[in-house]
Amino acid sequence: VQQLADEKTCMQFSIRRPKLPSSETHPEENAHKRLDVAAWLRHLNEAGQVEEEYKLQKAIFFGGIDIAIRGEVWPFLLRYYSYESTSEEREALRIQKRKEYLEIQEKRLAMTPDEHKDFWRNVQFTVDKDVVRTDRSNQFFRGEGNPNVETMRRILLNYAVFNPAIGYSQGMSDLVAPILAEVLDESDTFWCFVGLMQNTIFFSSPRDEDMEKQLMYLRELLRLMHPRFYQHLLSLGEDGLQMLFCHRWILLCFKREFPDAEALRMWEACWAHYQVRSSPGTAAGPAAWQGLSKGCW
Amino acid sequence: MAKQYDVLFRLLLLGDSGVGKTCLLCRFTDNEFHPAHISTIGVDFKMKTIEVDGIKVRIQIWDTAGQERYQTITKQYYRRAQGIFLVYDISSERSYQHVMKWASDVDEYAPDGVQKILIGNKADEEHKRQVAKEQGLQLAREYGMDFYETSACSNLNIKESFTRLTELVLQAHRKELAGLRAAAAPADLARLDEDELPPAGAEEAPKACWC
Repeated sequence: VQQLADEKTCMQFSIRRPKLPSSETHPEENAHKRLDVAAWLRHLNEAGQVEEEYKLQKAIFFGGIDIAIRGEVWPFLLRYYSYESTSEEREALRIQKRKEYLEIQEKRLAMTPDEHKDFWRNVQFTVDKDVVRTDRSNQFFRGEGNPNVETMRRILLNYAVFNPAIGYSQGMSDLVAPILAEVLDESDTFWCFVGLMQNTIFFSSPRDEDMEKQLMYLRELLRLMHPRFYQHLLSLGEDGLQMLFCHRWILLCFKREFPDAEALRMWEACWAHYQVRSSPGTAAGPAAWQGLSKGCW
Repeated sequence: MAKQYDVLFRLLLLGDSGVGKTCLLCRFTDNEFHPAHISTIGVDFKMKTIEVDGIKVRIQIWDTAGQERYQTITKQYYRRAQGIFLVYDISSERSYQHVMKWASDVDEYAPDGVQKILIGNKADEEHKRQVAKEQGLQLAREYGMDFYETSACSNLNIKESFTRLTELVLQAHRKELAGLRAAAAPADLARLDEDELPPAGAEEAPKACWC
């Protein structure tokens, strides 16, 4: 990974070796084509259920998803839809979930003046500042008075009502924006975002112990896989191995470090949970491992 | 081979979310202004070399996230700073009120003798002003700080305030710097910053935009 000037996107990194020698890659690295509509439909049976979840996850992990069907497939990866659900069940779920979403929104709009004052101070003030500076170069959010920015704002505000313990942390707008731009529907995006927050590393809890744990995993991974770099960091004194420079990489899964296309490809690979034993409640470290080990080093 | 700089300092930008810390920094280092910038997550930094009193000063400016939630991360950077900008937004009374909280954090976590200046940013937004210039001056007097109203948008007082803080840091370290003006061996200055060696070659690292 190399620092690089990129005047348009302000990226810090570029992929220095886009092609690794086959001796360094996974044997199946090039065996999977991007999941396109035809391939996606082959994974579904007549009732619309995903027949073999593992195969699908593997295909996505290695090949990624065609942009045209991201909006359709991401809700599975983000655990909004279960793989066993039928098309019919999913339609019913969407209707049910839309109702729930509106109830959450009504709760937000029905706050007492005091509650609203608190909410404004703790959540809305920052959300308002952030939504107008999130992904504005993406066509979907571009331009003054773009209604999609307002949709993103409502989703984040409603999420803070839905999960007051997390509320709003800066960075959450970076996570929800790409989902909204692909999934499009407001309620569906909200529930995908809920799934994302529950099942990936991000801030399943925003506490620093969790970040500390992530950085500890990373240190350990580095010690085992790149001992020379580990020694270099060690030689820099205590600051080096604190690895605070990785904080944002982990929090936003490299969204700010890579161009969108590459970053989203990495997100998908992480979300596929291929060969990852995921146990909700353990702050989902494995996604970071997978993201880090596949994507960066 | 000519040295790129004589001394390196670390400056830190602190203040509420959205007061324009990143914009101040981008204006100063790259002379750019993007009104809808992205929010800073955790900590970022940019570098610039300026000349003060004939001394080439490399300044490393750390830009921090304003949201309280990130403060356990950002606080870890306080102790390595030699100079701190406390920034509020003249169109936000709340951000001005919070300067006191930021200042008390600095007292608690930054090293003794750290230099501070107060910045009231967004001075171009006169029509939205909530904090009078006198309020800024008064607060700065209370804390014994210099004060600037700035605008990253119209490029008001940007260079001035960064240069001023650098001067203050230089003054505070003048003992260590004695002899530098008489063109002493630059290598001596490495002492000032033991863990930051001057670049080995004349080649600048590829310029990165860190915003």
